[in-house]
Formats: sequence, structure tokens, C-alpha cells
Amino acid sequence: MMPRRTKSVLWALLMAPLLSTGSARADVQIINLSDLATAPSANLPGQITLRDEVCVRVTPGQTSYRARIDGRDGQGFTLAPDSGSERLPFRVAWDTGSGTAEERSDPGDMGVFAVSSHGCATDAWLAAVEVRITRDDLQAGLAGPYHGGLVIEISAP
Amino acid sequence: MTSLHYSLLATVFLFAAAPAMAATDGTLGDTSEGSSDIDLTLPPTVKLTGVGDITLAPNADALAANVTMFDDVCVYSNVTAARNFTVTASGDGAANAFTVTDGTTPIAYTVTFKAGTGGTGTALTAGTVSGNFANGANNYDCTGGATSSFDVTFSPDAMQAGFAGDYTGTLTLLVSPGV
Repeated sequence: MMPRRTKSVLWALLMAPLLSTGSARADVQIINLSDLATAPSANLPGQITLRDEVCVRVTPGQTSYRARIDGRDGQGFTLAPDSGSERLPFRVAWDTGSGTAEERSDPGDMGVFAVSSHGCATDAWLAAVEVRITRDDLQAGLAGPYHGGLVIEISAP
Repeated sequence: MTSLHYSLLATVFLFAAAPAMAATDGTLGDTSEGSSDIDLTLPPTVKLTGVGDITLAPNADALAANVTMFDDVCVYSNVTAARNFTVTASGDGAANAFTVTDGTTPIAYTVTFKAGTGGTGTALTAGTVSGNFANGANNYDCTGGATSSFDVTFSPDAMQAGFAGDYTGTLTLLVSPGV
């Protein structure tokens, strides 16, 4: 009589190749990210938009992907001042270049996007993340440096 | 130099050279995560709006006492939590003197500036930067209404020394970021 534990291990070893070949693996990768920085003049303009064009690599044949964007420090979409405590809010948009740009004021799932028609590397397609700070928020903010960050996660839809 | 000294130097160098953060690309996988830094520097900014002309036409009896007119203005400031700013007032008389003139005879006046509501204003010296005023507005459009006001005052002595007629002058208010 085979012990139950040994039987379970053998079952798992037999099933593993079957499960892994049941569907094609859909790999994704986000590359070409850059930092975003600006120091506007004293005559504060309207809304400030910081844009970073990135590349999203997908498995050949894959036509869409899911994007999720979070603030880096767990404080939502806000920038922290070097001094003081009043954080500066911003909104984030994900633009695939196809004319649709989802904009959010809170971190989370941006949605499922079709790959753009603009290639930027092998099996990689152009997209852009935009950080938008409104005129009202810029004017309400106190002078000085602010810092923050974005974490962008791409996954198969 | 001992190896300990080299180690200490290397440690100091590594800490000094380490960047705060930088953008990172994701790796290939079923999910891929990248990150970007965001840096924004807002410059010290002030804006004076709502300045109007001041016209005085006192009757003869009024020349026996101070004649004062005021104008409500709005000052935006993004400097310090108190939204501080300073004011430099200049007249168009000699050496920036606060005077009006009929073309030949100057009549002096005084200027006070008040931030916020209530209380008395602070006397300004021609061509001299004031101390800090607080309570500037937090938007260019001054949606909360006027934040400040300034007074122009003619003393009885100054007015009585002048001749009847029209006197004009220009008062310039320069608002700067406070500290």
C-alpha cells in the first residue's frame, strides 16, 4: 500500500506538465520608464501635465493588457512636501495613443487596454503615463519641493 | 592608510553617491512592475489684484481733520503656511515720496497697509520693504474676497498748506514673497 503523502506527490508531479501546457503563457513587460520632474515659473500656468512615454511588451499575438497604477508611498496620488504636511494631489492618466486615456484621482486598476499601433521595441507597444496637477491645486500648494512616485503594474487581461 | 580607513571611505562614498530613487523598468513575466519618481518644485509666488484708483474731494470743512480713503485688494501668496508677503510702497514724488502735486506744489500723504480683516494698518515708508504680512489668498482669483487693504491719508496741515485745485499722483505697491 502506497502511503497517502507519497501518492499526493506523485499525482502532483504527473499533473504539473499537463497544467502548464494547458494554455499559452502570456508574458508582459513595462520598459523605458523615466522620472518626471518640473519646476514651473512663478507665473504658474494652468494645469501641469508631466508625460512619460513607455513601452509595454506583450506575448506575440496578445492584443491587450491590464494596467494598474499606484502611488509609491501608499498615500494615494499625492506629492509630499519637503517641509510642512500639506500634500499636493494629482491625477494620473494612461494613454495608449489610440485616443483613449483613462484618468484617475485614486490609485488602482486603470483598465484593460488594446495595444497601441505604435511599436517601440520588439513585441513592445507605445503607451504613456501622464501626471496632471490642476491649476487650483498648484496655486493652493505652498512654495517648495514636492516628491512622489508611481508604481505601474502591467498584467495579462 | 589602513584597510579600515579605505573601508570607511568607501562606505561614505557609497552613501554620498546613492541617488534618492530613479525610474525602474519591469521584468518580463505574467505581471511586470515599473516605477517613476515625480519631482515638482513650486516657486515662491505672489500676485496683487483688485487695486483701484483713489479719488478724494474733501469739502472745506473736511480740511480740519485727516482725510482718508482706502482700497480693498487681494494678495495671493504661496509662501509659508501663513502665506506671507511684504509690500514696498513708492510714491512718484522726489525719492519715492508719497506726494500728489498740482504741477508745482506737492502735498504729502501717508500710506498704511493692512492684511486680513479688523485691526489697524501698518504705516509704510516710501521705497522701503515692509515686514511680513500674512493671510494671503490661496488662489489667484481671490475667490474668498479681498485679503488686504491700504489707506491713503492726508493730514490737515498738508492739505491746508496746499492751494485750491486738482492734485494727482501715483502710488505703486510692490508685493514680494515673505519669509
